[in-house]
Amino acid sequence: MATTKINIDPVTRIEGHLRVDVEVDGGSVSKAWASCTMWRGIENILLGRDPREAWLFTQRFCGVCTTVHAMASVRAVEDALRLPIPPNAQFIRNLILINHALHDHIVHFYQLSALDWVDIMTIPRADPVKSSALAQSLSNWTGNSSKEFQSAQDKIKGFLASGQLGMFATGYWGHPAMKLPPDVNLMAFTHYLQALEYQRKALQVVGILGGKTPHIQNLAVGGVQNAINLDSMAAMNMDRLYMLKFLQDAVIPFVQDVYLTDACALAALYPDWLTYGKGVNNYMAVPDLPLNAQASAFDLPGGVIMDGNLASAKPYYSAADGEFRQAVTEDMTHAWYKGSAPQRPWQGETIPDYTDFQENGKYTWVKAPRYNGHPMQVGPLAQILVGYALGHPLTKKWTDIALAKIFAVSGRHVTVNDLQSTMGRHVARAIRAAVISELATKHWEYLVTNISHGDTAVYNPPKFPDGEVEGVGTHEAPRGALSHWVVVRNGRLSNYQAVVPTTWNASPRDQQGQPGPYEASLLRNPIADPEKPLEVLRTVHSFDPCMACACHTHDPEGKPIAQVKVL
Amino acid sequence: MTPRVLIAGVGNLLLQDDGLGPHAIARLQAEYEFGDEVELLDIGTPGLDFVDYLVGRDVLIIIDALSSGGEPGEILTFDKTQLKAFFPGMRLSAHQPCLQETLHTAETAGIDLKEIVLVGVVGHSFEVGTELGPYVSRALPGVLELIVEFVKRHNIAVTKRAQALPASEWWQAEVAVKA
Repeated sequence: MATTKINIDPVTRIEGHLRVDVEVDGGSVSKAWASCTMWRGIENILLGRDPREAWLFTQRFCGVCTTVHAMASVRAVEDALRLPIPPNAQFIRNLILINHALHDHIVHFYQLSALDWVDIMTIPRADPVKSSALAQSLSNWTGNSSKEFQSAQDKIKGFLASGQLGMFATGYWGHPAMKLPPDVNLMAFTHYLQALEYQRKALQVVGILGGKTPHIQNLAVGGVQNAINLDSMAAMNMDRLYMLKFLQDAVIPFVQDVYLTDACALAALYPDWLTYGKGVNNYMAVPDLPLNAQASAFDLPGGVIMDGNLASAKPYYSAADGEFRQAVTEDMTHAWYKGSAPQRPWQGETIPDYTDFQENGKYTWVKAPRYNGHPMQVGPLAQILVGYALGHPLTKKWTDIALAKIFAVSGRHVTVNDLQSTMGRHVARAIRAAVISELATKHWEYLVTNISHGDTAVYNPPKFPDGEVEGVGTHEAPRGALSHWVVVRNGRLSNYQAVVPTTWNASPRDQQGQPGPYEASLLRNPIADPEKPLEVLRTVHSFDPCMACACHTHDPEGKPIAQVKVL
Repeated sequence: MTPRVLIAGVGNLLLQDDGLGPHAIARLQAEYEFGDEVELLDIGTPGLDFVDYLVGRDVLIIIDALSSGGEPGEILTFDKTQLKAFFPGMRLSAHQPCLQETLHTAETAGIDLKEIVLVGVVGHSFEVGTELGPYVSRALPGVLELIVEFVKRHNIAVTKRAQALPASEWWQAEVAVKA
């Protein structure tokens, strides 16, 4: 075998690389730029193709959010054709989206961001009995025995003794911003190990309904391709349906008793982080989990909040809402594309104009989406604030449970407004997961009830008119509001633009110089050690970005004082 | 006991040479018949959720495009020790498919992969497009042979189909949309 040492990080991953530049002044961030260093332009591959096939390509935009791009694509074409889809198809799609989101949120919290807050190196000093007693006082989870905690601790001790730190070889261990007591760190690590088992069960549901994962195979413009026949072994039958329920029933308590509890414990023990990282406080979420063929009623609400004022919340009643279709534009002033005037996505152009990184000029491949000219934050925090403000019962229920859990640990009263922060985004994501977990059972029941009434329809064939039609497909994805905008001319795609959640959140400044959510949220973040900018990572991670990143720290003169390559 | 083998094709199908993994999986499925203990998976560009697919496997064979390390079109292989020697970095993103991190996470989770091998080809064209560039295209048959050889080493039967099935390469030409 070859022995040459080379960089095998696979090349040119689709979402590109995120670079964050911050200026630090007096121990906190004074200026920030978020830049995507790779051009996507991937939509261009769709021009001239059959709209019925677009979803196969769009789910290759990105390797983690495959499902969401497939779903937004078929919805966009159905919207252009005003094509209703059978209720069974809605419920099957909803179950896929629910389980995809549960998987994604668990992975994000435990695998991708918990170690920003949990110092693994303190775990050998924990007391498994006390740690387990603490966990038992916070929830009824059956996996909180001291034996379970002891075994997790032994695992870490084994890694340390062998000198083979494996995945823990890098990390800002011992950083002054790490504040959790060893017993809490052990609790979080034990649940981190358990998370691997439960996230997989959610993924199995996606695989059963989608035919395979990654890259589901069961969609079609007009519905789904899952044959329903309760008498057939080969089709969707009661055995298959009960297997889904069995898997969901295992995941639900993990989300409600473990994930939500751990996120609340972190918030209670890092109270400062409920004050940092607010940034752009205009919020947007689109409605999702449609309940009927026309997609005119939903189980998850959408809407807009301006200036962090919950009383200002305005609902979207459906994805076809006129305001959403009119209000979204993309601005190229600071992005490496020709032109600067804001364009509506249906008229959007993607013509590259690369200049180099210019602080006051163009500095990123991400366009700046705006809503009636305003930057918007999207994601679980927007979902929770919009739902809470609009009186959505499940959102209110789980938010109140979360705030009570934070109070139980810290003795501090935290309000829904405090969630407008770096830590608040983590808590909001866990609340959203709890809301969705409750809807998993409900949508399974909808599907079974509908089938038991004798309805086995899953597909309405699309018909493409001569001439031009426009459509928008929205999905409230784990990372926030996703919209695919299509123009179909004589049955072929003549324009395709995806406005993805990370485009909203990683947006650069616009014509008016208004920064995007990442940029604004980093301002006034403390930086204890500029060579180890853990705090920057915490805030950027709280958005769950879908780009690989390089994080640079500059002093006010602009000279790099640390360059942290983040892989 | 016969080991359970996962052959995972990694890469982005929409970026020419980066699509080597998915292309190779489609060709293997069309041209060869593998025993039940072997699963072929076009896994795209996974993040840490790659770990979810490793549970219950003994042998992992990865096919991926390489950004450097040799001349365009050159085939390089790496074993478990070599792969794990690369350091896991910190990450900001769910989409950074840091292979080493996947392998380390799998180990932390108690997934015991006895053998891991990566078969890579140094790429050259990474623009938007679903076709492999000329260098990687020429290397593809050699990649398939290597994969078959690795599988056979575990006493697993692999037979070349007398007549290849039509490859499920939906990206090559427009497919009739089923329903």
